[in-house]
Amino acid sequence: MALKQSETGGYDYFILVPVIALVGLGLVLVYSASSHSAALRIGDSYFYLKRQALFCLIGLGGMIMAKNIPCAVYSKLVYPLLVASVVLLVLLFVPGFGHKVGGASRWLKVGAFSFQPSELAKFSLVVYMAYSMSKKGSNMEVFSTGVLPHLLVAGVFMLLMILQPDLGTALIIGCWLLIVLFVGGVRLRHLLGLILLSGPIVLWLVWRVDYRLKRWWAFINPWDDPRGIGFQIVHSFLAFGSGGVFGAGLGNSKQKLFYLPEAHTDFVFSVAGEELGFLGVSIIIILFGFLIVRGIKVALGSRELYSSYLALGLTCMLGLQVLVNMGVVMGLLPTKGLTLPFFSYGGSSLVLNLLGIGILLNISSRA
Amino acid sequence: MKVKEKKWIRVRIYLVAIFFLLGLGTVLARAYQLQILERAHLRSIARQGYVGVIKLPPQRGTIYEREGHELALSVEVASVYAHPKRIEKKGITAKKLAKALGENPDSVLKLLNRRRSFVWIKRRIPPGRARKVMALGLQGVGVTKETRRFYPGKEIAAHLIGFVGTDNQGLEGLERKYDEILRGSQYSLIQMRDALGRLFSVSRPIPSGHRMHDLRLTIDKDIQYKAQQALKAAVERCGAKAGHCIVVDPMTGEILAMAVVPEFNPNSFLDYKPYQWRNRAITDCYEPGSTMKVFLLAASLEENVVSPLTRFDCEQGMCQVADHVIRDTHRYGLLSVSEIVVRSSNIGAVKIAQRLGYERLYDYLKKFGFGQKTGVELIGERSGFVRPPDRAGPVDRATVAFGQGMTATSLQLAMAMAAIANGGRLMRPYVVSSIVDESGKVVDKTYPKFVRRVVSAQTAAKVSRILEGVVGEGGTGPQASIRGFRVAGKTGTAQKVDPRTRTYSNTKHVATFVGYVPADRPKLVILVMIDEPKGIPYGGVVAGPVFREVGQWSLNYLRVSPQIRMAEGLEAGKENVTQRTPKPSARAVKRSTRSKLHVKMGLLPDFSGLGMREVLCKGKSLGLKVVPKGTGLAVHQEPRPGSPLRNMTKVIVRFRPPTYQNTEAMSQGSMGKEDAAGRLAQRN
Repeated sequence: MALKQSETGGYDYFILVPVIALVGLGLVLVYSASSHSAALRIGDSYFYLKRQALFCLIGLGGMIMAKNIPCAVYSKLVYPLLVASVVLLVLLFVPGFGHKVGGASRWLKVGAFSFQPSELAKFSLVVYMAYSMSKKGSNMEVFSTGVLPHLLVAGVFMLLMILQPDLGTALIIGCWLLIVLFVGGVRLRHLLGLILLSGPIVLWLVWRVDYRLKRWWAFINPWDDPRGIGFQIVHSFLAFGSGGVFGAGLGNSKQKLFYLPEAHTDFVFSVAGEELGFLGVSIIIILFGFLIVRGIKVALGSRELYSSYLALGLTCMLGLQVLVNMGVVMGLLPTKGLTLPFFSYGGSSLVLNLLGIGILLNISSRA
Repeated sequence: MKVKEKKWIRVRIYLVAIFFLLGLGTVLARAYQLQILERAHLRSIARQGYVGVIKLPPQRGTIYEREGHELALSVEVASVYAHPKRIEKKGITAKKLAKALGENPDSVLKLLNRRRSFVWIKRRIPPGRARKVMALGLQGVGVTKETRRFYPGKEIAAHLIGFVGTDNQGLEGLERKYDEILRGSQYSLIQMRDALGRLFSVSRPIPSGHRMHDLRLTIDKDIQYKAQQALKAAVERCGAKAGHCIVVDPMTGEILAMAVVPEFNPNSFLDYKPYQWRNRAITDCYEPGSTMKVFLLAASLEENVVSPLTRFDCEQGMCQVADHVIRDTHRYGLLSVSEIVVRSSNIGAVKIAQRLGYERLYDYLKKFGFGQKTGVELIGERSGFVRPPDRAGPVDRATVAFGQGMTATSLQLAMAMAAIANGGRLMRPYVVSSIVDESGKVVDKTYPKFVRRVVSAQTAAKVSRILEGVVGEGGTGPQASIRGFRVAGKTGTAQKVDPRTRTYSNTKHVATFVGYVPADRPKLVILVMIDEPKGIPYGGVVAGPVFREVGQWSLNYLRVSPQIRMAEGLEAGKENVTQRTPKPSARAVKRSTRSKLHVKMGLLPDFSGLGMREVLCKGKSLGLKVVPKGTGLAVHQEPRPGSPLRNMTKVIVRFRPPTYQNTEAMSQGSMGKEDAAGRLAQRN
């Protein structure tokens, strides 16, 4: 073990430092990406910065709290968490609660803020899987006990998300489930079967909806119609290209000036690419890579299977979101409405991600 | 149970770690590709995307003539524009704007409601209105200064200057040729648009780094005006199709005037047809006709194949060359070379050309600048055509001697004549004397450019002497003579080729006169060309008077003091108009009249061409002591003819026998050779 620490020991700086760096950079970029549109649309260029800073404080508070709560507590909260998540996801479809943005109801309006149930759902699923897989032990190799119950729970979540509609998050959960099941000891042929089965479903889901098909075409050849379906991705390319090696400098992105849709949320990494250049992009990627490797190491060094799975689950969820978001903004994956952890504007995501980091810190400190 | 204890779990976790590292590695590689490999490409596309530029018509430099008067200038006017997307209360804005501009509020509102980011509300308004609009301080409404091109001289030098389009871009003439230099700072509004095409940023007008320059021309607006007016009158008088008049300083090649008729007014150039915009003096090639005999003469004298006194048989006006019959307007027998030129005998010219040889003639024509562009800084110049020796048949070889079977532009002809006038040097013509920047500093100055020596100064002087005869009695162009000045020149009357029959037309002619004045120290070369005059087509009759009018006026304007034979010029001019072929007796009468006139005015008469006895007698009668030198006929006298007799006691007169060897010396005298030649001709 790299660091031998007491039960209530200190912080794992290999996790804390990259996270603080990423969160800090994220705040700056959210401000840079949002100030123009905020000034024009809301009349306060600091609008998003102020809110994100507030979420950041809440998140850091949550992180410190989670660091100090034994992670066994979550295993007792598994079922309430699952139920709460499902209820909140269903509430989205109840008129008056769901907050529609761009045709999708993904947010619940709470006063001046809105809450994204899928973020909680992801968190509860991580806790559930860790709890369930550690409990099943060698039964994981049996389909009915190792695969089916997890598939059912995750399936309900995924279905509710597809209905929002939010295929992106559903697919992330699907991929994440495969990775976690793989680690948990599920037989390879079961996994293969799952993949073969889900393939046509995903295809059907894409085929059925016009805009998903368009996004697919935009992904295949964005330059065919740079003003139409390829618009987002082309402007993301342009942002990266304009950045060059050293970037245009903080605050100097041109593409954020309404060219990049969702410059402060889904496409915040493009703004980073334009303002900080290849140098900044590499540093961010390396920081994330470091965090992921460290998280996996925590999972490997954990004393019990449950906390090990919990650490792995949290790390994989974070890592998958990072990979998919970066892949999307750079045109390696079809466009999905997914956020970049610590960077994209959004309270639910930031707070729950920091909470997850707090749990990782807790597990690391007890290893 | 710990993860560590299950080996397969560890392996699977390692595999997951590798999966993530590979994924991040791919992302990093992609970032490298986008940000480093495809950087330049993407960056250029990005710039095109978000930056929209609205260019405001730029300011423009002034074109001055040589005295500093404006020929083309930009007048500042104000224009009101709006950014409709930045105006919230369109109704109120429209009402206020309309009131300030004196417009209909509904039409203004209609403009403001356009789904565009930029609209002109009203362009080119008076400054008072503009101030009113600015005082309103409306959001999204601005006033910018624009310029409008104005040509105060209207038709003056219009073909030379050209004109600009609505956005002040040079379309014709010098405006087009010097567009880059005249064009001033381009003011642009840079605007950025968002993904939905909405405008979110509009800059203040930004000037480009470009600097505006003024042009100063060699043109003299007064001479130009005179040339245009005289030419226009002549073209109207004889019902001609078109005409050119070029005035050049032969010493430097500066173009002082370049007039083209029909004229046009560049302030309203759209009211004219494009062919009326054309600067025909450089863009139209035509067969120059007899004026080419000047250059044949110069070439033959330079090559020493003939002397001014060499005689040729002009075959009574008809001569067969291969299958072609060459005719003269009058029947001549034996004529000397100078007479051939003075009386413009085609047959004589052909014979001189045959003696010179076509190859040599061709070389000289090339040296005089025919068949190639003069290099003047004007657009659309044509080079004309002279048939190379290897492609010239016997008829071509003959007819070039009198300017048929080749083409030239008016400017080429004027510059070739300038080469005779200035002692044998071909100069490059130019109209732009300097380019001046906004602070008044001269950025580029044009200096006279010597192209090549064509003939020696002696040859040029000989030619000049003979050309003076053209405007004298017995010449073809007495109408071009100018009172008080010695004029050298040559007439030309060329038949035009009828495009339908492809043969020379008997009704369509090009009448030219090209010459210079004063003949002994030329100040001006003037070319007059009149295209398709109706009635008498002769160059002397049609173009000669324009030469005289422009020349006389310009010399007076330039304060060139007249030479003293004022009375003679007057007399000669008058008589020649009425009596084209004076008889020998008339000449004698004239000579005595001229001398008497001089004496009456208290001036020393011209003794040249007189025998020693006569000179001594005359000197005695004037109370002068004559000091004779040499024998033969008088060729030179000191003091010069026309000097005041008062306080004069003696006159030195130089005599030379009238022979070939002495032509050169004679040519230095004032009228010696011409008279000598005349006498020889009379004897035949």
